[in-house]
Amino acid sequence: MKGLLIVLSGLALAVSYPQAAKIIAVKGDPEVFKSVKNEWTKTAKGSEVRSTDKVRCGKDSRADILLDNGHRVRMWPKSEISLNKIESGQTDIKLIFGRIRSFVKKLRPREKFEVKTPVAVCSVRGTDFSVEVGEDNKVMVEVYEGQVAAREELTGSEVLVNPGEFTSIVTNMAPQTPREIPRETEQGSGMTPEEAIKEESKREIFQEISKEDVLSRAAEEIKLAEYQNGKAMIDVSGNRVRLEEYIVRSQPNEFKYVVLNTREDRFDFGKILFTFNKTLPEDLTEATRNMFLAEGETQPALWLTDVVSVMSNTIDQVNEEATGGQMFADNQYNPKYWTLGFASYKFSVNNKTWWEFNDTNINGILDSGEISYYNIATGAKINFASDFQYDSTLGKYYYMDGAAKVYFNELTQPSGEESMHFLSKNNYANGQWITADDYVISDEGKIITLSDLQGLSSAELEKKAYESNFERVYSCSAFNGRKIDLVFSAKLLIDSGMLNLPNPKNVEK
Amino acid sequence: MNRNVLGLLLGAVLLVTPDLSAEIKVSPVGSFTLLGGQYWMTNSVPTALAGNANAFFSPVINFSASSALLPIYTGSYRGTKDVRELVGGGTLTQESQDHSLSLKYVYKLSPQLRLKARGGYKIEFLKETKDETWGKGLFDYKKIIGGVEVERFWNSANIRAGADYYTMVYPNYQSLVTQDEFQTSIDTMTYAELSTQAGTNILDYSAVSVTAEYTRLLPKNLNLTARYDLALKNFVDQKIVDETGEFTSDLRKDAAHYLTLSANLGTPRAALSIADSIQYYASNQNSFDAANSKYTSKYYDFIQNAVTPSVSFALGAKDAPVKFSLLWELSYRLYAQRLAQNDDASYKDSKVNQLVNTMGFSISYPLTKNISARLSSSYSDSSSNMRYEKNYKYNYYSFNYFAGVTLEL
Repeated sequence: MKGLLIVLSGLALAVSYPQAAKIIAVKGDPEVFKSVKNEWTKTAKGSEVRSTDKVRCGKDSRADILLDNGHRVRMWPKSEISLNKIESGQTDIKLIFGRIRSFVKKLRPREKFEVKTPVAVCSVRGTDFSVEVGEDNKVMVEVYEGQVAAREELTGSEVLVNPGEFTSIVTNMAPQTPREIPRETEQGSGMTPEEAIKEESKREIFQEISKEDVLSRAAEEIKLAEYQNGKAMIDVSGNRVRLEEYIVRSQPNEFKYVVLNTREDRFDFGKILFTFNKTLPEDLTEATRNMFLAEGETQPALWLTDVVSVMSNTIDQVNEEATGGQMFADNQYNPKYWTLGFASYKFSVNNKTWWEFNDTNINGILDSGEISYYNIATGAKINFASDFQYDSTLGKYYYMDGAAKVYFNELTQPSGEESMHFLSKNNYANGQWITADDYVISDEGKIITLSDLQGLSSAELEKKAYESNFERVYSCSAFNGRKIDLVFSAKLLIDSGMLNLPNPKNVEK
Repeated sequence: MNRNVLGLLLGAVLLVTPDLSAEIKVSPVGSFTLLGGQYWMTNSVPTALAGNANAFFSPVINFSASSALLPIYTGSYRGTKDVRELVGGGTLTQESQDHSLSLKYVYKLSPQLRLKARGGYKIEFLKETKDETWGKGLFDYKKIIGGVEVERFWNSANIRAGADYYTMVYPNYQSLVTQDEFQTSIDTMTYAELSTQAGTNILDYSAVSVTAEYTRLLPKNLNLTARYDLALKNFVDQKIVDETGEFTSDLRKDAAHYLTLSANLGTPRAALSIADSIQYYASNQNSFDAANSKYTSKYYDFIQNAVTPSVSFALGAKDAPVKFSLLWELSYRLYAQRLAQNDDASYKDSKVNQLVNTMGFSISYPLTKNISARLSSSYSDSSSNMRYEKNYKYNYYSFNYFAGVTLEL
């Protein structure tokens, strides 16, 4: 009989055993007070809790409880609740101290979800809200979704708290009129203190990143201005070229154009001194525009008398010096064009003259006897008649190197007929030589090709020329393997005709 | 000077740091994003598929509920560009990386009042050409910054105000005309003519910047913000150019003013925002264009207005939503003195203006609690009355896309 009683009472317990909820997330060591055991024990994720159980979270603990009707309760550290009742549809939780946030599923008719505190009751219908009991029993209710009716127990006063609002309740006083939750405060965030700290930290960090972004843009502006000024570009090999160009007007009738280039491991510069027959106007382009070729019946008022230039890699240098400039009419009786001619010109490399001319009859034309070429080893004039043979088919001088003809002047397109890359070379019979590679390149270092120019109108061709850079590379038997490599971009020189290219039609095929 | 600023900041941090024996909590906060994508610019083939990565990390040290120290690392690597970068220089930027270390101390005098002090160091490396290696980029720079800020909260408003001092150093950029190679190989007269008064470290500057921001919190989750920034830059070695193209003894000084007004409407699922930002940049520097023999006074002065509406919204599970955002920016810049040029570089009568239109979207899809997949794309086009584009592109369009993942701590 005794055994039967035990079985029956066990069945009775099973029938009336409260409905379970599950702890679905924990942090730290939350504890559960099981009413059947009457003691606090550590709990873990997955543990079940039932009506009349209590749950508490210590200083560094947290717990999320999923009720079997789908509601969820998040407990903050330093909080304790009593699950007074969690049967389906009838949820009654007492917040003894601390803070909880409740995520409540939409309730059916006659269902209820209440959070009781020592001084207030919060009843809801499908919502997301938090309730906090402070040390002085002050209750803070924040609502994020849905509505909460918050009632002070002693006075029975009740307020309806809408989403985005909060109210505070103290004992024996009507709840405060709900107000908007301040968004910049921890309380307003609806987060755990740790989450709030994290969010606050992120906010501080994003402020730093945002400030840094403004400063980075300022640095971009500095770079932009350098590109806009054309001081940084890329050469034909894809390497960095820095370019600085200066105009100096040291005398009233002259100006100096100076260009400086640097790359990773080299420094090149060029200087051209232009001297005119009289004082230059303020706008230099008035003088440079027609300084080599001018249209008109009368001689231009301004013309070049001397040009002295140097191109150097700081070790080697190529110098050109022209003096005695005059404008010569195309027809002295009925002039239409005026062309600049110099009385003398000298081309030298590392201070040794390679060739020169003297317009002894002052007719503005280079007659054959007026040009002299030099052997740089001896300084003696080269006698073309003895050193070279004449190829009457090509109209060029050459010498024999074994069985091969080596022409004195060569003009080729080493990068292909399409590319604006021209190589001119002077070969002397004594083995001395000098080459000039001329490239027309974009700022990105791409060699301009004929197909880039095809179909362009004359105005578009002119635009293309102005958008391009001119790069000249000198190699020479006297340079011991070094080069002089200089990029120019001056519109002043393009306008004047100083920067131009050999006509592709004249290029050897 | 820079060391002094950092020393003072650190000293200040130590003075106001409360009892260090009290409980200290360290909370790591961070984000790491890895993206791959491509970039197109007008009439160009797309760049090769390249990766971008950026990260920030901070082991936030909370000494108490009222004070925290944030050692912050931020860094990025970019193998491809963003359309909102200043792309006019062409497709020049090949790769860049930057690293910044800063120390920020936040002290809450009360729940409504915060004081902050910060100091930091940043370095940025750029490889724009084949021959530039990390650390040898022409526009690499280093920045040292120190500053203070105060922030005050009310229920319906907050105010932030701060001041910073910083220095920018471009270690690889020196004027060519003052370099030794030039001095020893050009004739002394030309060297003297060009180098007299010419500075060497012409891009380096120091700056003082002040910021003031007021945010008004209105009902219905609406807030309005007005922000003003002023940066006064003093170039340490850049001399003013006069109308003959020669340098004077005066140094370049710039002032950058920014005023931003914005409105934000936020709900748990969506946010709408519109901002209008006005920038006025003034400088005493002029320009002498030797290539065209053209002098322009106040060459750098400009005014710019940018309107930026944006919208973001979240769909799906509340704890792990899919996030969408759309952005549009319309920006107009007018240079005060700089004349526009024709195709052949000849000058027009009108001043240079530029209108830039940028649109973009991004999608973030949660993969796990901390990891989300990201896809973003942007389009930008620029139009200008500046038709001479030898050195810099003013008329172009560009497009990019990125896809990758973000890990958040």
